Amino acid sequence: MKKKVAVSAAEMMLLADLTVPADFDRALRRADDFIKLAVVSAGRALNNAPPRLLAPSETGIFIGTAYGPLETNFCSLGSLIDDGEGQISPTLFSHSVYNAAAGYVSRLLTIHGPALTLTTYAWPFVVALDQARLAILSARIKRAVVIAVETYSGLLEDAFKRWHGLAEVPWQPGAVAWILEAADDISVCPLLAEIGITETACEPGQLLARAGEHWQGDSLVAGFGSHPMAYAFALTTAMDLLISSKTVKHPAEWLLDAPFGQARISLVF
Amino acid sequence: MRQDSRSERVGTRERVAVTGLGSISAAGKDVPELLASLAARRVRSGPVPPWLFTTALKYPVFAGPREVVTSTARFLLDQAAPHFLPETVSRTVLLALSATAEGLAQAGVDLALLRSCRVGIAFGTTVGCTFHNEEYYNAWRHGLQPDLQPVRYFLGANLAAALHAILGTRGPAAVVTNACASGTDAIGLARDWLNSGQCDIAIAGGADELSRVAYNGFVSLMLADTAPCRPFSDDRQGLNLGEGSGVIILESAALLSRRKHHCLGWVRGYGAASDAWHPTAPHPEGRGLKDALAIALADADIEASAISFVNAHGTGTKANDLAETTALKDFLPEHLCPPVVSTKGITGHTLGAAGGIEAVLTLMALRAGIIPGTVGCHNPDPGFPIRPLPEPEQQSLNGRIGISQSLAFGGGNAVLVLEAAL
Repeated sequence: MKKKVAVSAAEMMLLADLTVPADFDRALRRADDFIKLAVVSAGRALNNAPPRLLAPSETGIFIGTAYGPLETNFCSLGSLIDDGEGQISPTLFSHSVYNAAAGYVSRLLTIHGPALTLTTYAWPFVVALDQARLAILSARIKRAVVIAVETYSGLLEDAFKRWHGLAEVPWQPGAVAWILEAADDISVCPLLAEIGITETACEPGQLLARAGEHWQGDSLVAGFGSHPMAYAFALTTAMDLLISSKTVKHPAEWLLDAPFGQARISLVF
Repeated sequence: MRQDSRSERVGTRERVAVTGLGSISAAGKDVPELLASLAARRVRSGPVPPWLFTTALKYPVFAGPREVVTSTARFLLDQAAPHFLPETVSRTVLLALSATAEGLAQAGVDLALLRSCRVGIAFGTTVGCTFHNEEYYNAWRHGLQPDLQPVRYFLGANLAAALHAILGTRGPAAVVTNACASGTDAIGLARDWLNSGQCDIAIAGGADELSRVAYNGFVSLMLADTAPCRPFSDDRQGLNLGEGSGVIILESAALLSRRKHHCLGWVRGYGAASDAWHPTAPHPEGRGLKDALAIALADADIEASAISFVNAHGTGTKANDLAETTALKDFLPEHLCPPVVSTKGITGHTLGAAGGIEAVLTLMALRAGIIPGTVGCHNPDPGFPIRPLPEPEQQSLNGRIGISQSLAFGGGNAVLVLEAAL
């Protein structure tokens, strides 16, 4: 039987609303916002997904990010400049590595399957969704936690403002987390039928400004602004609606379109 | 279902063929030079060259050639992007480009064929995706408004996007940032693309340049050695950083059958798993590695007894080498333990590139049927539960299937099962 991949939970979280649960307080005391957002959003999504009896190795983690823990990267650079050679803060350095968040998620949420961090400027969440889907289809795992996180940085904000002559940045630091399931043996909707992504070379400034980016499809609405996480917030809001309402029963297609490419997500119910 | 060596299938999947290999590192500007360095146990480490960055620290590195655009890469550039200016992209992109050009040339894939196919590009990196321009950062944090060019440079440094743009190709693209396991994961990911029909051909591997931040970071973590690294040795003191790129060209069985090009081997299996243990240290018993090995072998549809060679991560740090040998002891057949070797003694630890370079070396060793011992290791640590092959020895291989494994910060573990063609 051909395997199917379902989405059983979808969570969205803004950095402004981030509250670290008490049971993670100690473990996350040295963590940056990038790590905290990943852990807390993933934890919430898992709590909202139907309980399943799975071995820790049957769940994987897939993180998509455009800019990674950029602020920590700069703090690490600052530590090198200020503290001198060989004195860079080990904590800052290890947290500036892009997959540090995946390591925290696996440790704190007891996930022993694959942990993949993917970096691209266009639609990193969709890239992560696709890899998670393929990992489930290949039967290496039965469940995937798919996360997108952006926290940006003061340096990037300044560059963006100067680039575009703006006084404020429209970015909203935050995270989304979805739970994907091998749907052969459980009944959850909707199903991720197909994902296609085509990226097109473009001016670097366009990737920050997201000018011309738009999306269309069932339950996908505008109103999330124009920033690198907006599409992920729109997809998550729509997916949460589809999961909770269970009203749409026909195949649906979501299309993301921008000067830097196209992404297509096909859903069946 | 077991697979006949002549069959086109592994279990229910078609086999993914390897038709080209490319590499550039301190051990050589191409695969033949890399193999010659391994055979000669040649160690080209030394102080950080001042044209890379200046430092007062005395930890040796394995620097690649100063000029990283090889003649093969120039030939490809002349055809694909005659107006391309190498100074507009990072050294990491250029390393990846050179390894890619070599791989494509060996695969007999010209630009016309490449542009007529759906091409997947998957690269692992760590340094290659970061913003490490100290001058810009320092000026900015002191309230100045430096020229924005370094930000443009950072935004143009995505390896997969940059290579698609240079080659003029279309298809899936991903940059895996899984620290030291990135290159291995990227090859596994590209294999999945081919299995799922998302592309016809894939360029996969890893690339990373030496950086002052990473160099200082490993020193701060007390993981670097002031002498040439000695993986698996009883007197090992840590790793030496290196730089480079390793690339394999993967093809669907359908495309290879149409082209009738020579097949070097196959990516038979891929597995990845997490330690869920510590931000920078591996699980002491290699828990995640054992899981990754089990998944990879199940994916390849083989038993552990079919493995004839293990290309270990073998960084030369106390913790890594012990965790790795402990995991392998539990996993490999006790009386038929295949040779376990680290090749970082000739390349250094190239971080995101390591998985790519080591996949190239693994496949070439399997094709040659012989593997030299671990360069830098004269007395394997007697505390290890298995004995890795030391430098003075070499061993003939009993089969054509081997594994290449990587461990990473954050507790990631990734394993490839590779098979050489006759």
